[in-house]
Amino acid sequence: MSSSATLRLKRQQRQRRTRLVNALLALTVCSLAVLGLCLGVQSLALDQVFNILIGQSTEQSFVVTGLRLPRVLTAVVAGAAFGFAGVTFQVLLRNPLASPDIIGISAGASASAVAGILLFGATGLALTGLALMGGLATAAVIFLLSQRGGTLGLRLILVGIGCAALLTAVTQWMLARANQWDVLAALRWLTGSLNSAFWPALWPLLSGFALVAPFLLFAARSVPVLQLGDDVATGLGVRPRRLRATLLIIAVLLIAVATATTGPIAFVALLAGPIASRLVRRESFPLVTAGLTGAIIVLSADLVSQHLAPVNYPVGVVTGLIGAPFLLFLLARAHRQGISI
Amino acid sequence: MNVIAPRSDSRLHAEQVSVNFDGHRVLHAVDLHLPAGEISVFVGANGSGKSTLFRALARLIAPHDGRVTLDGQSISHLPTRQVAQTLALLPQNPIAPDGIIVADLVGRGRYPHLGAFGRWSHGDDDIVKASLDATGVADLAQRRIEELSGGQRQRVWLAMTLAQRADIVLLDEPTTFLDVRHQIDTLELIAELNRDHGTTIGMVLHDLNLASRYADHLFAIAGGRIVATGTPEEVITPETVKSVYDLECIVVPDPVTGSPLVVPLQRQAQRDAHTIRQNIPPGRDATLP
Amino acid sequence: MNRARRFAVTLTLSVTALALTSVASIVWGSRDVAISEVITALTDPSANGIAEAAVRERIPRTILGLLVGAALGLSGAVMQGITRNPLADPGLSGVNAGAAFAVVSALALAGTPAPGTLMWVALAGATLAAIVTAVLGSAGPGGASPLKLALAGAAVSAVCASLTNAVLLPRVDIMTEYRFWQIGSIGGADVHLFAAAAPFLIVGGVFALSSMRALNTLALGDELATGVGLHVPRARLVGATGAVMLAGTATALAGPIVFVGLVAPHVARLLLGSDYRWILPASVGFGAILVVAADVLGRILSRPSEIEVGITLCLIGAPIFIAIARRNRIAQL
Repeated sequence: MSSSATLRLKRQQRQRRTRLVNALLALTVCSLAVLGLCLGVQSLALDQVFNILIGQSTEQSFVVTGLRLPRVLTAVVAGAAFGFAGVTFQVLLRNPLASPDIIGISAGASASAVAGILLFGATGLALTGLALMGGLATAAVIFLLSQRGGTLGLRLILVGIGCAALLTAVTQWMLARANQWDVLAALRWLTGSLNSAFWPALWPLLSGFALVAPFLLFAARSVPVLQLGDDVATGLGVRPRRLRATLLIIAVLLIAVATATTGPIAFVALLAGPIASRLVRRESFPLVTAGLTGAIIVLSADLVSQHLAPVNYPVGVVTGLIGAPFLLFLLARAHRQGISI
Repeated sequence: MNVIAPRSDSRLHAEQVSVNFDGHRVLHAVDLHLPAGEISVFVGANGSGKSTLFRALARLIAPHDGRVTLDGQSISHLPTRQVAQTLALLPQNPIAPDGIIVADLVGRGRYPHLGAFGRWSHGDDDIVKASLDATGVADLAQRRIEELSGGQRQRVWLAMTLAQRADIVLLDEPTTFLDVRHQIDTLELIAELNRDHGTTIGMVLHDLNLASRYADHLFAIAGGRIVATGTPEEVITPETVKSVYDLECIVVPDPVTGSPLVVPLQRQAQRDAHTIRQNIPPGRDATLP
Repeated sequence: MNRARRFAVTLTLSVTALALTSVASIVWGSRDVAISEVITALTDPSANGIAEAAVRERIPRTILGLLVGAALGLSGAVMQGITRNPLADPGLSGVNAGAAFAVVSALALAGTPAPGTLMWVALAGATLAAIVTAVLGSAGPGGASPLKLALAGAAVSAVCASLTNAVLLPRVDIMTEYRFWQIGSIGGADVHLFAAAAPFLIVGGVFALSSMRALNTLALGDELATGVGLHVPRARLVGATGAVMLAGTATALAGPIVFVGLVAPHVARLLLGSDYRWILPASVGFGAILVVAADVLGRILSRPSEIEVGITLCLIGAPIFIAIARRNRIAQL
């Protein structure tokens, strides 16, 4: 039997669990970030790092604030952006595999960035801008091509896969034409790497994220209603098309700005959502959890690639190696149980 | 019969509403006033436009001409959340996300009443509880939707609609895919809601006899127009059934409620309908030859 | 036009097109040769001019193109048939990425192996990836759907690609070799490879063509097909084995080539209707025409260099894929 009080209790338990998980994840992000600041060729103690952060100037100041801090920040913010964008796509398109790296948006950013590297030798901000424009343009094309009545999800995914194939071919063609050293730079970018994470390259990411993410967090409250289908959502006072368009545009902006800064770090956008929804079972749109999960994936993968791997791999290789088996597992499960994230 | 005398207590109106699909006009300048505090049922053959009319009233599609008004204001210009506080609707095949539990689903009916940040109050819990009780699914509150039977699911969706606490509730074929017992259960529930809270109900039903039993007011739709409207006794006649469904039938009083009951003739009789109709006296007291 | 006549007309036109593209492939290139020079090259083994050398280099290339195209076209038609998925394409099913990963691993482990060995390796990788995709894409309720298979293919490709990167990035030495392999190309045709590939192509072709009738029955849906007496799982297995062998061998011969298997059966269906007894042979022909024509196009468009056939085909095929995905009824064939 359930009285109004037990209903309330169960609901609060659910909320508490979500809050607890989020708090634990946030704590993990912080400790990994601190670890990232301490470790390096010249490892520092916790108090040294702390003193530098509060403004004390020492010999290691530059290493911490000039090299490690931007790297750690990039990892956190890009990871969160990947997580936000991925889970938004997955929930709105009702498919656990419909993340931006499968449906072509990352491929668009990549093609444009590789063109920049190989044709104009673009680096830094110019490269970021090119990738950003490439990602946004591709997303626009995919959306336009899949606007044709009927269900948005299915067609968008298939059109996206088609676009991804096309853009990948273009990228490979450019790679085959270029000289070896440029190719290496391009390939590193394509794998996703934090090696160029210095302050100047970080600002677009930070400001873009700060500008856009709050809108996503605000709009997120309507998503549970949207999940009941367009008709029910309309009945409950949501404009489904407008809301979905808003959410997807925000997600595209996030993924584009993050990809532009770090390159498409494999599988972060794809895996953050499903992992998050396993951590908070009852939450239908685990946005914050997915963002924190994304940050943790990128941060820890970067630590592994810098300090544990035999070769100094770009971070994307590590996420790829961790992500690949999980993706296959996810695919097998998603298909056995019907599709849900 | 397209013109209906305006009723002062009606809140939801269709004014000269026309809808096109793929260039075809499927609704022709329909005028309609949904009677307040009553159960109105839309009946008509497949493809008659009744679902389209329903969807236009529920603001699920925008009319190409004319407008739908709620309390005198065009429904498409009102803020949609504000409309949702007055007008609830249950479409035909609502989608439940995987793994969602009943209480959570019903709680989503509170959405239009929550503040900008979705803050939840004790009052909302009470309303969810009351809705679960009203539909008899309180025991299932912590169960997952996919564990429930079809009849239970339909009750849960009704509970979600109730939780919206709207004065007007529109339902699109709430009894499809239900067996006969659950059909009756569902309609009794809707009638109860109307009786106890004075909720205005508008629904589409396929089954003429159920429509006739539960409706206060019927709208018969054919060819994108309202061809007959009024009480079941006024609307359900062999002539109207023939013109709406192209079906020969006789109409007898329902032995339980006394409402008109449609009894279709057999196919051979359909062919000979003309002759039969001449042989039996038309009207409610007819019996099968 | 009745069906037999339509078939005859289509056959005549395709054979003509096949002959024309083949001739074009021998005649046109970074340096055009005259027909008379072609004849000299073929009849007089002692003629050793530039033109003759070009011809002798282009003939195996053309044959390779025909073989690869035919294999991919047939493979795609069978894949579309057994999955009832209009968007099935061997190249989008993870075959390419699987082969690429196998090739890179082999290069990294064994230095530079003989070309013949590399083909075996690619074949193994392609087969493995295709099996994983097929299993993942058809697991669960409802069997294989276009969406599930497309996603499974994309996911398997993504997994293989990231594994490939992990092997490749620290190894600058194998980068060059790999990056030309990873673009489908029939430029480096080698007669010895044909001999190695022939058994696979023949066996795969026999498997694929033998499932013609089964495909027609499968088109009715699994339940109805079972009802009229088809052993559905066995029929699928036979078809899939053939399709994977053909696609894997083609990938091993020419590198990753996508969209031929998608486009060829659709052209066949457009011209000849939905009977697989006609679609399968037609897809063989159209696949061959498509690859050779794309290769010629790639050579003409960017003279004096060339665009690899894999790229050209992708540029042609992706828009067609998108157009099919945009059609209203994509759920089934």
